[in-house]
Amino acid sequence: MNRLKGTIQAVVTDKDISLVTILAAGEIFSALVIDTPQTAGYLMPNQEIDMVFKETEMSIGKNLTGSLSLRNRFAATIKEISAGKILSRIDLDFKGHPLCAIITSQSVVALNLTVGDNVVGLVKTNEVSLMEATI
Amino acid sequence: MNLDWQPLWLTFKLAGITTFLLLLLGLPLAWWLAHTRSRVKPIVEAIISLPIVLPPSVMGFYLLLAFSPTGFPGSFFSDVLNVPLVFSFTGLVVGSVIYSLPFMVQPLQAGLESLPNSLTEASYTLGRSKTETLFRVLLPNIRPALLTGTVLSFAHTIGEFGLVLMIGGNIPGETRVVSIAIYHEVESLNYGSAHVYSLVLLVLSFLILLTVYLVNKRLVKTL
Amino acid sequence: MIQIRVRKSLLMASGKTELAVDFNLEAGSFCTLYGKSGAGKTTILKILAGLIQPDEGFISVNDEVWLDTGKNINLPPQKREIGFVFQDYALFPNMTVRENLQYALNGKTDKNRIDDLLERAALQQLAHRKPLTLSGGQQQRVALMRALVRKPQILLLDEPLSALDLEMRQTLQTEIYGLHQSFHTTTLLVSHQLSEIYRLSDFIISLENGKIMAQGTPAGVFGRERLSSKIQLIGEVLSIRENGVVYILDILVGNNIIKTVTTAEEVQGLQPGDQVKVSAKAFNPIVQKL
Repeated sequence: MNRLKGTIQAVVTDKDISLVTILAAGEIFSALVIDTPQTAGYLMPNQEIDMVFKETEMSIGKNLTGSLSLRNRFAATIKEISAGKILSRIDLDFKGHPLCAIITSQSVVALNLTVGDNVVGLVKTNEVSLMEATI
Repeated sequence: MNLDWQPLWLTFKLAGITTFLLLLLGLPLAWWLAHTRSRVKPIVEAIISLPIVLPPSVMGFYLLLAFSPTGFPGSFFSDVLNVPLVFSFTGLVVGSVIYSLPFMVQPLQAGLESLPNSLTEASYTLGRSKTETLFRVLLPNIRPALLTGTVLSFAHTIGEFGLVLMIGGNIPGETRVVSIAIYHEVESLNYGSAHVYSLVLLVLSFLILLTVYLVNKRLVKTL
Repeated sequence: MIQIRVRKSLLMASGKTELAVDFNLEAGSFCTLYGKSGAGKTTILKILAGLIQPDEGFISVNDEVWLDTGKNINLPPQKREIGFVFQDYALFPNMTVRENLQYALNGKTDKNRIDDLLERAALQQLAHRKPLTLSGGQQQRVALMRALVRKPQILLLDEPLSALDLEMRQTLQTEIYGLHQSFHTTTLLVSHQLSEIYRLSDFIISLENGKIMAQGTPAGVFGRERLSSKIQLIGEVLSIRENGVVYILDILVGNNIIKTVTTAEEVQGLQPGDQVKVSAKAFNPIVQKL
């Protein structure tokens, strides 16, 4: 699982659902959780938090233009590509933080991904889990 | 034919008293054997089982020596209690208890050992003493074993011959039990009396065993 | 509060180990002793009950000393106010359900308690039956109620549900939970079923080779990290298969087998038989009416 440490900037709650804005490594992320400040005490500004998301829920963009609904997007560099028959594993460097994406090998070919490429990492807000920061 | 019923009466008196004493003696012994972790357990078990393998005459010979007024415990019985052990009914009872001990202890021990230890432990944690546990939990649950032990001891005592002959002899009204009486009648060529004695023993033994098997079947079912 | 500090050398199948534990239980808490078989869980229960003697130790329950080998104090099991539920139920086959409960009565106990307990466990209809004619679940229910007749200070449960099928286990878990909620009897459960532990206990002591490896809340001991994910399942890994750059895990959750895709890092140190927590976001599942 991918894990990024960040600080909560804002929490917007509607009934059971909260949209949490998080600053991590100088970038703004958002996470959608079925929790409120009442059910999860750590949902408050300035709280240290770990964002967790699955490798298979991360997408890669290259030379992105136009609009995209995905809120979480950040520039990263490809460190390594391990290609399988169907799936490939892309290890990324995001401002010194290692992240990993598992995407189809077809996409690797289609996007012509190679080590050293500057790409955009994409994660849907509802795929991001939060975890109380570990010391 | 003028049949003497005394040997029959004597036989059942001997078997009854022996069985009663064996219950008193066998229960604690079986309980101890079932629970002990002592290293002497196999030795005790071996001694108790000796009568099963030894010829009755060997048992009888040693008991005769021990029971005689110069041996022990014979001297104690004849000098202190004023009851001689050789050629007496008391001697027959003591000898029979020793001789039939394995037939009481082994079924009881096996029965107790077959009960899960947790029954005893549960009874203790429910505040019940060892004695209460024995009488209210353990014994009711080994009824088949109790019945088997009682009946086997009783029947085995009825069937004694060699041992009785060695330590009791053939004293009418004192030590002449049925098995001895039959031998005596045959020697005297009174085949008629021998027939009656034998038939009574045969029928009785069959009935006793039949009852045991019938009752045991029912007991096992109601448990 | 209950204080336990005991030491005993044990001869296990795996060889000689020394049991040495020291822990406290809050009055009214539900604590689980967790660990592989041979870790010494049952021995601890039996030492508490007075059924096994430790080499040395100290046990005090609500300021009453039950065991102090230093001062030669050692209450017999009969004098310790405990309720013990055995893995094999240990019901007395010669007594009916009611008689089994009555056996636990002493002069002090209210006779109505038997009826209350029978009613509570929905056993009135079976009160005249002999235990061996009952199902496993019913038998264990009788055993539970019997253990509660004397209003024990501690209820000791030695893998009480391990012999039951899954459905019955879950029903009885709910019942045990309910009983604890209403009687607040300090309870010590021996279990290696993580789902059971999560469901019932508020404190866990994790044992390995007779020593305490960790203690705390279930989340504290097992899930140091609390994920916000709303779907969290406890399961047992059945198989791990490599598949290109990922791994496919079959995990038994309850009586369902679920499949998950994981990375090499996640399966590291994992092997079939391991208990795992599976977390997923609430947004992924598709729900269809059956």
